[in-house]
Amino acid sequence: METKRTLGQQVKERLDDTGFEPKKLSWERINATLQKRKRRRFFWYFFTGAVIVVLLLLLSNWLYTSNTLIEVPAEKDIHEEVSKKNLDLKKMTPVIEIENDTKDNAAELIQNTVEKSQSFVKKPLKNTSYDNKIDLSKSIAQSDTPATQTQKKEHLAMDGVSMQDSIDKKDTDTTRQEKKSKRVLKKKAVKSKSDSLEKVEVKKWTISIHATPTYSNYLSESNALLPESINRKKNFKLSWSYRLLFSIPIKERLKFRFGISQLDFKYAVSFEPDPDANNGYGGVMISNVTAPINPLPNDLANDINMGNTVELEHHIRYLQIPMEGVFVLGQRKKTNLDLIAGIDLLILQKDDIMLKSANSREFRIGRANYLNTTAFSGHIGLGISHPFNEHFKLEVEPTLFYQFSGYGDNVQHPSPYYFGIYSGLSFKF
Amino acid sequence: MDLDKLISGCIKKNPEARERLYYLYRDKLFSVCLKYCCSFEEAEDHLHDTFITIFEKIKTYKGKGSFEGWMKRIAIYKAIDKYKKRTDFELATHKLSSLHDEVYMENESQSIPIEVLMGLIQKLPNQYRLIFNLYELDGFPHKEISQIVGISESTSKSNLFRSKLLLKQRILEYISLQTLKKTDSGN
Repeated sequence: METKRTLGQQVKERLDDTGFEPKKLSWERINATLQKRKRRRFFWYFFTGAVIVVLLLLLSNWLYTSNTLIEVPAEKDIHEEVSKKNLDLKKMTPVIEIENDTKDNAAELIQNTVEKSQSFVKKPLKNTSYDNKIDLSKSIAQSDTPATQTQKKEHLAMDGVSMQDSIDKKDTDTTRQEKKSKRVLKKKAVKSKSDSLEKVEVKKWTISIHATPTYSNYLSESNALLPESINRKKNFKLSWSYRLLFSIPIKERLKFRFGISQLDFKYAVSFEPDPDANNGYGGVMISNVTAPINPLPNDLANDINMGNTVELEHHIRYLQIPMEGVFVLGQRKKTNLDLIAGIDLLILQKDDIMLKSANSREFRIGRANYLNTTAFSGHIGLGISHPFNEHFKLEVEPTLFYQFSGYGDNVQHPSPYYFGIYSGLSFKF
Repeated sequence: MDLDKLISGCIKKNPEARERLYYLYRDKLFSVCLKYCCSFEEAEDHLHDTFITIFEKIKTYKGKGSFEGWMKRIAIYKAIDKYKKRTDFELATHKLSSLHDEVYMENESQSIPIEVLMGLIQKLPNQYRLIFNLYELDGFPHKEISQIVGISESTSKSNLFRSKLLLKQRILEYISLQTLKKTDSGN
């Protein structure tokens, strides 16, 4: 006898295990989408890094400019102002005779102003703004107090000097004063020229030679060469890198540097082979290796057959072309502290996959099929430099690099990073 | 490789672990996708999107509840999101007098091939199919359905009842058509 059951119950029973399989959708399509998203993510990381570097450069430029952009009255303007003042003096009544003294004050003020403005140029001040512009006319007017005027009027009346004489005397004084002002300005012009020459001297090229022990590793735990199922252990490996850099100052606090560098990495993973296995290296299949596997040397083969730990090393060498900005963060006595940020073009030079055991030498089994010939990395670091003399400087620059690209679509990007404490000497021409 | 290792491999973005996970759960998740989509092709696209989300969110899986259940919920919630984005998705809002009546059937549905039954569910209007799947096949209560879909409980009940009536009618139509065909071929 058939019993009535709810429609929902009947349909659920039938659909519990349908056995349907997707036809068009394959793992390759999902994997391709994941890789595409990963690339897009790395592009954004790279873009964000680039924006940060540009912002840092702009910030440094702004900081420098705000410290040094003090409006200094041009020599021509000062001269015109003095001449104008003298002309006004000539047209004025005897009361203005007192202004002769004011002219003396004006000359002194001009001299002080020029000296002050040159000291600004030589040594940037931090808390200076446009409000601090020196208003010559205001200063001149303020220097002439009513008390001084009254005193001088009385003095003239007592001497019985006529008005005409006063005017004549004033003209002679004015001419003398003009000459004096011109002499002062001429002296200042010579000094200013020598200052600008000093500035040109700062814009000299510098060449640096650095070396560093490089520590490199992956942020990712996975390894494209060994399967996930193998028990393995990442080993710490040091290698050496060298570089030659050229730098040119852009602003007082900012330098642009570029050069050439040799970067050596060693990524190592150790695993334990199965002595009973007949395939691979003691049951371990090493994937993504292009060159055919050569017969193993006897000592290495014996170690694998005995199940001794084997180390798989990937030696990579890049020719690196760094481009970076160096911003002076601060100075204490003669020692500078710099912030360094930039990007690097990497050109693959060496790619060796090696096997090694306790009793054997390194044996090359091939090269990785997932490394691109060119790649990009970004870096950030600090620089400490101390001059020995006019030309030589000691430089120590701890720097962290992150490689954005350089891995093919067939493997997961392992997020490689490397750290070095670049140390060396620089020579300023 | 056990499930925990597979999950940790996927968290580490290991391609091999991801591929294994895909082939392990592909068919089960595809059944879920088929129920919620109106065609085979749409279900394949939905499965693709579901796996992408699973691989991106797998690190948020804390081990509470079954992993399969967690993945199925992702597929279901993605389907609900798609329904919400559709402009033609309008739910019936008027109440029916026999709202709480259950729709019963003889065991006719057992004689229908599985692909035909799936096809009949897929041919239901979007709003009916969604509520029918959520309530009858995946066990969501009306209260939860009302919260996640953004409708009232009574609307959810109304849509469920209508979906079952419509499905029953179509099943019976299919059976009668088949019976007619058999009779014709016998004559």
